[in-house]
Amino acid sequence: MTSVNTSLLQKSDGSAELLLGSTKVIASVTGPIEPKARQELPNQASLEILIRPAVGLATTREKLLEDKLRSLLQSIIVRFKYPRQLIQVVVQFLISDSKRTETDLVDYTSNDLNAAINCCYYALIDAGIALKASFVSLSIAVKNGNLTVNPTVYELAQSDSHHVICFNIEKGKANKILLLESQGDIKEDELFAMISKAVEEAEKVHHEQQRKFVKEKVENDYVWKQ
Amino acid sequence: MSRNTEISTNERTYFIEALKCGLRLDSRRFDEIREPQISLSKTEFGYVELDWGLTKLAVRVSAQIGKPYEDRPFEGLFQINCEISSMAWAHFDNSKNSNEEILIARIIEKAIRRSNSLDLEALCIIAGEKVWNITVDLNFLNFDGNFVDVGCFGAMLALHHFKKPDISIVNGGEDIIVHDIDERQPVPLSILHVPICLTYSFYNPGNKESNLKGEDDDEIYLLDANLIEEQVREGSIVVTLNKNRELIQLSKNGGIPISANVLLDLSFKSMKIVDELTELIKKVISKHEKERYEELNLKMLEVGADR
Repeated sequence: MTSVNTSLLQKSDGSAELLLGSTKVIASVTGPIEPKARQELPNQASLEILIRPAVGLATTREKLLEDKLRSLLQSIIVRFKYPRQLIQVVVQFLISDSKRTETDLVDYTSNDLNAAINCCYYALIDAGIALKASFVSLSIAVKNGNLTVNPTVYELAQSDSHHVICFNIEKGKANKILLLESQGDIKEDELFAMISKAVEEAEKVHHEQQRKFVKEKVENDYVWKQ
Repeated sequence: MSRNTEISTNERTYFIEALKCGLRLDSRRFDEIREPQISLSKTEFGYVELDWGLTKLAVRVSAQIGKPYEDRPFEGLFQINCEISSMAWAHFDNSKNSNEEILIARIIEKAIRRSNSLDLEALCIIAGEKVWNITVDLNFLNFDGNFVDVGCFGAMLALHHFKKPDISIVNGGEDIIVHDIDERQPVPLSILHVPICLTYSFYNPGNKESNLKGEDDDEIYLLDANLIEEQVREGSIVVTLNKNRELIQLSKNGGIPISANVLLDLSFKSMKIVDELTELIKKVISKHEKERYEELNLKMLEVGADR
């Protein structure tokens, strides 16, 4: 179950709220704006990425997620288009599905990361930031060779391995892996089988959700042209 | 969008001229607040999304078991996190807290935590050993003025909505069992009173001198200012009251001087709105409780004769 809402924050250039399973996240994109002197890069846009947790203040957990998100967004945003500018991305988790109970010691971050990446896609499109290609992220749990896409935290806990995989999508085809975060035991051939199944799934998400969203958005934004 | 906070002289003059004619840009009355839009979470306790005009806020209350302070063994812990990120407005810096941000956090903290609105002794499980640690996270999503009033209202709403899991003490006070919310009905927090913050912004359409001398009382007071109104204002005061007509806080940090009469007048005027907002919290919560009661068929659980 996925639902997306965009342009809900008036003070940001682009924003999106994504409900994916039982994870709810809101992302805002502001940019290109004037950077602080120490952020400025002479020939490309700098990125400021902030992730805020649903409960409490940001810790090293959020810093790690920020780092993963940064490496992905850095390679997908056309940064040379905005030299000496700043693009601010803030991701706020509203409902997080990373622990089975509040006192659980194990923290499964893959659903959070997955939701954050997908939410950023919609927010970046909403803000009109130039992207080299589309991207789709999937959270996958593998148990006895069976795949579950968008697993719950219980399914993650019982799986043999779980993965967050993000594909670069060009002309409707997934052609590159942008990010792969894996946890648990998995054999090489199983991993390849998982990736090839994920490709189909990602293309499906792209065609059924992202394309539809972008088409509607362009139609609505350019309604004055007709 | 830019981080620039300045507004143009034209805009400013237009706004002041409109005020002189008794008009606000969003056609509210001077003492009218924006209509709050509340959505309470159906699946978990203590999660509230609040739209107050264009100001947007998500509040979450959470509870953990912790150890009390040594000098206060009977009291639970209660904290309010109120960090404002650049999501709300690019003007807020992510790496350092601005004075504005600290002030907002302090005023909310003073209104709720230091006024003892939450019964901390009711949070005690085993004296000196285990207490509930209640945390309120205020996440501001969009800024259109008045974070203080919205934050305070949102926090109180979420505290009313929140329920902590039931516990039992076993082994003669040695251990505790935390019951899952599906196993036993969770218990609401004990809230002693509901503080409501109201912010008035001041404008001086006349000249500075007459204001300083206090010759003529032509200053204008606006309740619940939005962003433009906040940027143009020449001073503000936060009045925190509760339904019992207790004055909890008056906070005026600089700005143009106002006369004591005005202060009394504003406090009196606030009472009506405080009553309305308190009533709104009660109404929304009891409606939500009723829906939940019917949805979960809790009637089935009520055993024994109704006495």
